[in-house]
Amino acid sequence: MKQTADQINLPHFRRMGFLVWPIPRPGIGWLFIMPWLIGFLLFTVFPFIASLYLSFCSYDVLSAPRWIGLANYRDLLLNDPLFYKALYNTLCYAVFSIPLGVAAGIGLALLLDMNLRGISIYRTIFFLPSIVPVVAASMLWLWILNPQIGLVNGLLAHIGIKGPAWLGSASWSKTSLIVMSIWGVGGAMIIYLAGLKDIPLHLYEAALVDGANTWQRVRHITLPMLTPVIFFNVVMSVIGSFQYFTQAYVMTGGGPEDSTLFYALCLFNRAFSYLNMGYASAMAWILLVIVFAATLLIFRTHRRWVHYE
Amino acid sequence: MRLAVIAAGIVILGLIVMNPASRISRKHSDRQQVIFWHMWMGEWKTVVDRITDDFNRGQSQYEVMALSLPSGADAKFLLAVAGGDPPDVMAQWNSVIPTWASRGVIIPLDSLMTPAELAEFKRTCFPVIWKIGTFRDHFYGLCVGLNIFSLYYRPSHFIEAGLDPDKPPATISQLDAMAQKLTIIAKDASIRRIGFLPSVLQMWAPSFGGGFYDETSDSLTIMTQPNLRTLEWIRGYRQRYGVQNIIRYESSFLTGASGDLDWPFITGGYSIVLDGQWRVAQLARYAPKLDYRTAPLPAADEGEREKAGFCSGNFMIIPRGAKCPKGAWEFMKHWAGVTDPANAAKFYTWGGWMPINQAIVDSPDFQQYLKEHPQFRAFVDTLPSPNLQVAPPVTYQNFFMDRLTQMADRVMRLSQTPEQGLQSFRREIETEQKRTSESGHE
Repeated sequence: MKQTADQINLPHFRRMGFLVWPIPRPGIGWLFIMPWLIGFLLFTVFPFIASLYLSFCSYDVLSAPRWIGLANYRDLLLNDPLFYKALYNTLCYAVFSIPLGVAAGIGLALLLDMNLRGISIYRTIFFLPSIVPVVAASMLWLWILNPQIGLVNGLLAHIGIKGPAWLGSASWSKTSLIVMSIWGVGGAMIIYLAGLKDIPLHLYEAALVDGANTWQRVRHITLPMLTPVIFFNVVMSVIGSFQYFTQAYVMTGGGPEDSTLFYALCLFNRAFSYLNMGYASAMAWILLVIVFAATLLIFRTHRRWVHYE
Repeated sequence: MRLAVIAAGIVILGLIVMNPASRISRKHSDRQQVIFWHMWMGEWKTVVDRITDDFNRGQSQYEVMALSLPSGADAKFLLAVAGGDPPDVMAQWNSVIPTWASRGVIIPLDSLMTPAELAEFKRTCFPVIWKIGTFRDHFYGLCVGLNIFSLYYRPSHFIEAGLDPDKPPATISQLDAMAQKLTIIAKDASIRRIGFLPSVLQMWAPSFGGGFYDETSDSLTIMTQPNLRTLEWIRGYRQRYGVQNIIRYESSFLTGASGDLDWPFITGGYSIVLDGQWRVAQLARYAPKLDYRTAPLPAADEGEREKAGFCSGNFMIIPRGAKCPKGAWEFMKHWAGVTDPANAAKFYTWGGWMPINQAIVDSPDFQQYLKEHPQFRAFVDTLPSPNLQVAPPVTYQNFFMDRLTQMADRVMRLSQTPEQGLQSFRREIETEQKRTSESGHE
């Protein structure tokens, strides 16, 4: 017979030398989740609420926060061209990198879904870049995109094209980072691949019987059946794009001419370089509202384009 | 009971592990302890330890305990001050004086000096040492490692271009003419060698009679004719050689990939460059056979400001709540050479640092160092210059310097004219100034 929790003989455990607290049964559950709970309350809930309070304050870490009402929000929205520049850069990045990421992810997943010999090796190869640490990948891309001795301009020179200065040029820097984002598409690709594997075979069989060609099968079966996965990836990409930081911080520092000053980088500078914590908190809350609105919009429209079996 | 014993054990163990003072071994427990935090590592840490030992040897009252904080020193320092347990003295190299002084994080060093001592210190130290450590008429940071900039040039390039290496440029127009002769452009308009290329606005503005802060009126000076002229001069080089050509040429130098070995001046990428005094020691180590010379910054023909430029530095500060500020001040004076310049001279030679007063420069040890490193003389000769400038003492100094760099970048890329650049920069700064004062931090 199985021994249930209620049947545990506490005095017996005490005799064996275990420390047994006289805690009522529901309390034990709380005790076990307490480490996580304390961490969550201290390091997530408290900063979350504190940042809302601080966004209405002038706070520089060195002295106590001073309540200034809506001044931070007013300055951000009315007097800060850098805020709008950073927002524009981020939106630009999101608008181009998200569709590109979806297309590249699905395209790769379709290719890697084929029954070829050694397909798992190809899958591994395409997945590998996404596990390279972002900073290491950024350093690598600095070399690849070097205008003078970089791989990209070297290849372009072979076909008679004088490549641009990429990250060194204000008009090409964002494009460079958008192109670079495809490098990390492996993570999304794996999810698409799992989604592809989930599509019931009988749908394809029925289509084949009806005489559908490859494109028709992709267009009318694969893509509609993949929309729940696309929906998930788009939502995650929107959130990720608005938090885009590391690559710009490592590779360009926001330059040239503020062309890669993304929202998170601008926020970071305000908080940690200029110690304007209140101002940065206001920026963070505006970001939250924007991301929330964008996500809500996608959720609102999802009935029109997301198909569930 | 058993639980209480275990809990007490954990607390005691935690205190032992967490208490940084416990990890520094004391040699003289009868003396007052002076905790010194700094950010030097490796060979620099050895130099700092030697200086600390030198101080401790000559002491009967204080014992300095040096602790190297390689990363996150600023955050640790601020937390320590906020927590009421700061070190007694800290070496700092970020531009923090206006921000920290205005918030009362650091104490004015003049509060530790007698009026006579203060007057003597002001009289003997170089003007830039006073300037860099001062905020609102109080002296907060004693600079023990000033960064000063001069021209480095390659005599072999001069001879090749038909120039006299014994005559470095004395004026900006001479520098321009030399730069043109030294620059090599290929037939396809790509650059093969840059004679000289001005870049950092704040470095050159003082030579043109400009700059971004006026001490007499205690105000920022942004939209001025000298600043405009400086920007136009810097932009002129980009117009002459082509912005894209310069970007391509400069990107071919893999600076940063292998530390100091790849400075393009060593590889001959530039004939004349503007750089700091620390390069003298680096060149002695990494390129001992390289033939090069140094010269002070030339003056603009109309600006009449010789040996001008912009300085930053490493300085010592004492935090609010320091337990032994007097001991900290004694240590600082010993290191900087306020009390015994002849003895401190050797510290400056160990680190290749710039002295704070003429007595140190004139001391036998430092004169010997200059004999061994004649290239160091251009920097030392610039030291007494009243034309050296520092970052404006505003509480949003980091913002100011960041936006200044971005504005200069836009002008250098020809995206804005110098007028547009300075106007947009002035607007940005005015907004920030208003914001800072409204939030009660100016």
